[in-house]
Amino acid sequence: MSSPSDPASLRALTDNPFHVLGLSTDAPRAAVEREGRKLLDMLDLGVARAAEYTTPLGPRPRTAERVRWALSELRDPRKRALHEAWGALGADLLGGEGLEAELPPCPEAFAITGLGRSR
Amino acid sequence: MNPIPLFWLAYVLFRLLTGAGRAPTEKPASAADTLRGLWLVLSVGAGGVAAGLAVYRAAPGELAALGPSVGLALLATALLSPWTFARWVWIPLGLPRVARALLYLHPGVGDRRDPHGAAALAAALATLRLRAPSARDLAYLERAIAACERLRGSGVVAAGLTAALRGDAAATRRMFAGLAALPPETVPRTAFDAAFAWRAADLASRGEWGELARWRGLVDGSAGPYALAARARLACAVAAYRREYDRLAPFHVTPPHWLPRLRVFFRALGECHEDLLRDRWERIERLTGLTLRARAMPASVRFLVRVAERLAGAPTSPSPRLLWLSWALVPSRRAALPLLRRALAAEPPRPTPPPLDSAHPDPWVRGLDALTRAIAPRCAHRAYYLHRAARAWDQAFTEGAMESVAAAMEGGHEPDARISPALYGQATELLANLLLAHELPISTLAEGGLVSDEASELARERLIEDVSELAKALGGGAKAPASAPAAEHWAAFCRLVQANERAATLGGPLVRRLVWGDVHRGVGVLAVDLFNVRKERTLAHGMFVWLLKQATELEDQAAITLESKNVRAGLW
Repeated sequence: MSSPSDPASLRALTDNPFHVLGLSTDAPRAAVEREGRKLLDMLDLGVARAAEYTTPLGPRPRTAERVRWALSELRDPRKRALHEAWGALGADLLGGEGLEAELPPCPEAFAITGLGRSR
Repeated sequence: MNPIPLFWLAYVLFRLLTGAGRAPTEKPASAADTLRGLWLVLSVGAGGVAAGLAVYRAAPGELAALGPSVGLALLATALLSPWTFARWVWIPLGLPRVARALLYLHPGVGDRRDPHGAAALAAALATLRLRAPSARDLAYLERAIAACERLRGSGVVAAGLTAALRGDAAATRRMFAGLAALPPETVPRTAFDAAFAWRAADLASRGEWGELARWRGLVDGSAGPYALAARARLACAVAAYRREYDRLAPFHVTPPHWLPRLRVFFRALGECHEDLLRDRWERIERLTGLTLRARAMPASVRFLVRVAERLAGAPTSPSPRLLWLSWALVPSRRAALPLLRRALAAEPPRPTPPPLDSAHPDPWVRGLDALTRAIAPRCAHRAYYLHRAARAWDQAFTEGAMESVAAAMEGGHEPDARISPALYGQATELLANLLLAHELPISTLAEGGLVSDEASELARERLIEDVSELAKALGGGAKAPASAPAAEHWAAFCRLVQANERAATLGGPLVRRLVWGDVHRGVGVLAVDLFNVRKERTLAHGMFVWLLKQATELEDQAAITLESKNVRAGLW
């Protein structure tokens, strides 16, 4: 399930059924059904590693409802074709090139300016 | 001879003389205020002199006789300079009620125009020092702000700090950014400094060092709009340049108590008065050579900005010696030491590699590749990659391809999923959303492609919708009951100003023009109501000045005439 902060149009990236099921876009119908059933069983048993799936915008929580929705979307050939188009945008494609350096914040800043207590 | 009485007398005279200086637009203080202040100063001053004389007459070597004199001197200083005592004693101790009460009791010598606001601000600053402010403390602060008969700079800053204490930092950011719209003479230095320090601390606490490093011009060497306009206006007043003085009226600035370099200024004035109206501050600064040294900025802000320059690897990165010096001037040196060490140990950031392009033959896949890079959390070339994604999809969704899809659907055939209308809709929606989410201008996308044009149009519509909704809500706010807190109206106005600026920055002049009608109507209705009905004239004046500036920039003659009249109505 997408995060509540995801705008509707970004859901093409976060709610893609292939991401929800953790499959590649060329997965055959039988593999989709098998993976879906497996995930539903794992979620039912509370297996921790089934509780999240990766998306290009970071991990999102996986629920049984979301898995059932993904299965139904991929059973419709027309919808599946649409999801395949976006499914190629995988989290594994996110490269490290051209990233800005990350600068850690300073939680003491308010104490330094006299607008808060030092921790 | 005992020097205490002499120092004392000099101090009392200094307070009286500086207290007499008043901005030309201010209404004189009421007789009661003047009498109260004069009585306080004279009585305490006379008491001090008497005590000093008594000590002077005491026999040499009787040091014990100095005790009452010193005690009285301290008491008089506390009474004469309530802000000084609040700043160094009551606020650091976290005593909001004491700080507020003492400032409130001395309207004659505190912030004479806004004693309630000054008292509320002191209380807010003291509450920030509490370990865990309770709901009761926050309710007390809100009562202190509500006690302000007319909300001015101090009250607005107090309201902003209260919002921060309640956890609504976004509202505080908006209110402090909107502080520039208030006439500067209504924002005392203490309030301005508190807001400035909060904004710097907020950026540092979020790790926005790059943004903070850009403040360098404000803290070191450059003047910023306020000081430049103040100097310009003062120069015009001194030289009886009536026309220029009037043209600077929209800025409504108070000349500072020192003279600018008039000779340099006059030489450049003829060239730059149009620029003053159009906010071309860099050009004015270059023409006039006017600068404001860093002395006015709090030392802690200067320190944070220098650290930010160092951490962000700015070309103006300070030397270790300058960092140590900046740290030494910070009052909270102990709290600042870890940050100083971090800045000293900072390595220059690695240069960002150039962007990469995919050479895949399928334009849809090329677009996906660019999009993948564009949505990476710390992408340094986000605008470039979004542009490339849109260009690639423009090639995928050509008019010919879309027509063939339509023909296939009409003929009952299955169209190519890669160019289906559903995918086209999702792609344009996604691009528009990413542009706005990452605050990128619409012009990032090239013109002339189906996807780029549609995404630009969607983003533009959203920007216009956001501003129009806020403007309509603001106009509706005028119908709110008179008891509605003035700070809420000001916060709503600041929100609209922010949305309008965002729309203008991202959408360009076209969007700015399209929203201007709604913005003018919404702000105008509220400002007139605040001015005429609620008598919140400082806030209303700030809104009129902002409207006039917008109208001037958009060259809306009817609005310029109307808002010029409103601005001339003044503050009182």
